[in-house]
Amino acid sequence: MDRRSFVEKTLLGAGLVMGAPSLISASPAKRKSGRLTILHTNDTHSNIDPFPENHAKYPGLGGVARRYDLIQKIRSEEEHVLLLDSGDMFQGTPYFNRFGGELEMKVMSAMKYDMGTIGNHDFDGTMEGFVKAARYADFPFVCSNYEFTNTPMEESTRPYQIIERAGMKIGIFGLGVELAGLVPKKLYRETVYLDPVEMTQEVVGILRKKGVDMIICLSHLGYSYQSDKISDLRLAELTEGIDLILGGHTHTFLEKATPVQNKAGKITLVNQAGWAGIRLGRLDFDLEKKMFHASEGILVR
Amino acid sequence: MSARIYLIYLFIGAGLTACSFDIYQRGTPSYVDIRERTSTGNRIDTLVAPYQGELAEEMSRVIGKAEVDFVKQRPWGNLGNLVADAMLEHGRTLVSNNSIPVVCVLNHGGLRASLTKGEITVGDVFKLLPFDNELVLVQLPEEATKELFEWLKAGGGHPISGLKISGKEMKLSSGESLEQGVWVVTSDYLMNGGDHADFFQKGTNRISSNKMMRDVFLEYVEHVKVLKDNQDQRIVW
Repeated sequence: MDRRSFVEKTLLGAGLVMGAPSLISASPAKRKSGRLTILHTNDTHSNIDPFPENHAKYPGLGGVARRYDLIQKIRSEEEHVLLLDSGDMFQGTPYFNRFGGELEMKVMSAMKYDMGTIGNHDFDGTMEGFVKAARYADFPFVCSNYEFTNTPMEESTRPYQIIERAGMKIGIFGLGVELAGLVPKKLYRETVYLDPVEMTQEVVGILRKKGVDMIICLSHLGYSYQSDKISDLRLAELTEGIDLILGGHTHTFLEKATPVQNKAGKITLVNQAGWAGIRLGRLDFDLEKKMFHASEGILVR
Repeated sequence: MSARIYLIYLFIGAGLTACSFDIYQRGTPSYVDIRERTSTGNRIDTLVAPYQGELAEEMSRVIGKAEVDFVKQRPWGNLGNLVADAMLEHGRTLVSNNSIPVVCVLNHGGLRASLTKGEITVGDVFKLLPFDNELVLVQLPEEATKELFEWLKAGGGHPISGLKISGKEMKLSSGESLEQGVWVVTSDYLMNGGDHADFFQKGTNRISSNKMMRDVFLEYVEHVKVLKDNQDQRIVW
């Protein structure tokens, strides 16, 4: 498949409106490679337990046990599932303060996350703390724009990773938010923050040469800002080649993924799934029609 | 355990030209109830249980007693007084040069919960001070203390210790003036410009405690054991 054109093909079904996919509601039977289901979280912030039932805003929502159940259910119905996280797994409950993030890593591994990226709060337990916790992670972390040379996290991330799923080669890379002014210098130390737009074009170029069919960016830049600070929406506009940006940082609840016209005039989809594990983001990619045909936020309850 | 999944179906399907993003067709939102957990006694429960148990044990540990309810109030309140006093007490031990007075300034928003009369647990302190903010000291020259005063006023009052505001004047609680400048015990959040506390940028010297404010407060409560009411009216406009 010509990767460059798959989103374009996605959009060529002019006037076609697909019928409602049954998704997880109808048949528990595993379907035949009809689609790739992309599940994602961001800013789970050490929310191991659900919010209490008397919580003002999110009563009874979230919790890793329910998220695990939900993911298991979807896995029992879908053949091809990709599970990704966009950073800030750490900080927010005493589970992190006391156990340094190892439980977060263990539960994500049990859920069989395929990949994650680094959020600003993932530095909160020091870089050594991240490395220690990440020993319990069975999945890799991607980050293209933090140069970790000469820091304890030098070996903790890779710029990108190619995953084969549903007969497709999927290139996944990560982008972190600017650290200066946000994270104390003593936590990120000698980490060099590189320009997300430049790094995107570089990585997209590499991934294309490697013949990937789809490019996904795990971003912790934030959905959008009033200022011209780089965000997922701006990144989508200023670059070409990304099919899907799964974002974080701004704790944005989107009712649907946002299509953005990228630099090449194609569509880059941007999605984010709130925070705290309240929602599990889901996007289904139709393997035959080569189109994303559904996106939703599932409340984990 | 019952679970409900809220689904919104969205479809990309309509034709698209370069400048048209009308590609979503919204389906009818539907609700799907999952009445029971699909796998009982799952791996996650087994994984989380020991951590949950340990945490519950730690969070429920009683470290002291409050004689009254400590509440968050503006321009001053007994909770703000209590926390600022505790931070000041620890901050004072970190200053070697005692020729300059030491005071404490926190932010109202940094205190996240009240303390209820009766036993105080570790969990109560986590609710009060959930953020991992470090206790720091910043030396401010006299002119910056004027901005500090304006900041306190603009914010409607914040927790302070070692200072007294009456009307248009801010002095040390001893009644002395601020002409020689002060060491301010505060959070790294404020020192770095949080809550628009820009005057900290005029600091001439800084000391890190390498200690989280929550830990300072936990130790304080464990040390004093009984938290007495403190109705010192530190800010009177």
